Amino acid sequence: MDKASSKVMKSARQRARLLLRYLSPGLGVLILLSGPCPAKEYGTDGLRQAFSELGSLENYLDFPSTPEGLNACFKDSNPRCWNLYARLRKASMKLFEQGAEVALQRTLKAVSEECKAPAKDKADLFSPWQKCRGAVSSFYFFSSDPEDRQIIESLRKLDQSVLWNIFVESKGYSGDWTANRPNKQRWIQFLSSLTVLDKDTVGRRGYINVFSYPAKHHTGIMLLDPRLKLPQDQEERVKAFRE
Amino acid sequence: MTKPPKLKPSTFIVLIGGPGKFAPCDREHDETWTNYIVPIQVATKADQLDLSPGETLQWWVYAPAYRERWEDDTTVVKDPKLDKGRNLIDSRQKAINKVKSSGATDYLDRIRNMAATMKASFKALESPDDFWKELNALPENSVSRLWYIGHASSDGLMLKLIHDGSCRPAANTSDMILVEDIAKNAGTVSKKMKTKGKPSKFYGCFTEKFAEQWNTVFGTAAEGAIAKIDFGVTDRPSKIPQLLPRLEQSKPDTGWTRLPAK
Repeated sequence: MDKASSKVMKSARQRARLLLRYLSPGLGVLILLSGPCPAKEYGTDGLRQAFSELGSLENYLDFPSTPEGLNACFKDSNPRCWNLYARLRKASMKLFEQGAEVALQRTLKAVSEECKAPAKDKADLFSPWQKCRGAVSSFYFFSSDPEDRQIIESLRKLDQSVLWNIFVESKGYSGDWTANRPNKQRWIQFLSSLTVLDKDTVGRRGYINVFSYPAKHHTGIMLLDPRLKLPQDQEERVKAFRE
Repeated sequence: MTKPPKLKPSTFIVLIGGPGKFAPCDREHDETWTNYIVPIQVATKADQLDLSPGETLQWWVYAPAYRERWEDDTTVVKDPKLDKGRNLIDSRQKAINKVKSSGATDYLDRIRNMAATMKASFKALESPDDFWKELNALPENSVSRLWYIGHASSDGLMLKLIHDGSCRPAANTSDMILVEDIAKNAGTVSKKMKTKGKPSKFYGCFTEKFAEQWNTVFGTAAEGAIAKIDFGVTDRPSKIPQLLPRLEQSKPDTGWTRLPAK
């Protein structure tokens, strides 16, 4: 590099440094604004309703559990089945409206809030723990290793009484999320540390068994993952759906 | 003289799920309260259970469902404001009369009497947890097989049906035996199961996943329905004379999975 070019590069670096120093407080604000801030949002924008919907997935007789089942319910124009699917798909779209990273933060926040105590909400038709269960079932959508670590780290910070509610009261051990964990051993280790579960007749061993013998996918939650594209005609009907 | 070999006693459990209250908006489900009783009655009478020597039959019945149905049927038939046809008042009154004329006090009492006629012992379950508690109370290596007859989905056995505001059939979480409950209870219950024996069968819609998990966890042979079962075939004329195979093929796409013991 000749002297002239080196001088230009230096001054460019200086300019960049100056610009950064000038902008940095603003950049900080910008990063804060664009990053996840679920704590402020939770419970104010229909998200609780979305978790209530997702928590009802395993209660319905007609929810399609396979892509073939979904196609049949779409082609038959079976309103009972299709409307149910569209309603729950909209709930998962609500969860993901700001992207996957925010969706995970919202889910973890929901678990810590909704699993504190049973809800007295008439919208939770099937269980007072429906929103808690909906949030826990949503772990299914976050199955990468970093996401899974984040989930366990978040659960570790919760009181034992909340963990009891998650696993025992809300039956959070059910659902396809237990089958798609990237590292089952990590969960087995975590559950082994939850002495509170020994108050249940099956003890810690019972909950560890759920992860040791994961059932094949059966709930149909995979059909709700907004990142999986539906055929266009189905996607349009979901968007147009109003109950 | 050589003594005949001593028969090892074993228990064949039939878990009987309940109907929901009759919902006029849903004509697909539970028009009659006996939907899940008649199949086991017919199969027993026709000697289709294939009981092994020493095997005894137990009916485990989900009591809350039958109590609620009785309460609802006996209340609704007295309501003059209701549309008789839409609410099936005549057939529900007929069902009540039949129970009373048999000397039973209600549906549950009627089932208890039916079980006695079939030489089956009767147990009323009050919650899904009771199912696991009762299994745990049995001696080790004594349960030869389990059959289930009732509502179900791919998520588990639905012991009582309800409907949401849009008349969609569903079950409360507190009325379900979930697929994951099998593994959760495996630690204590697996000791009760005989590994060799006739298959456990799950007569309910989409019970394939439940059967698969039963087979995986306990290693016993298990069978279940791939799609929907239509219990209405019980009363309809059919080319299939035996009732259980008729249920297994009750709809063109029902499909039946058979998993051998491991």
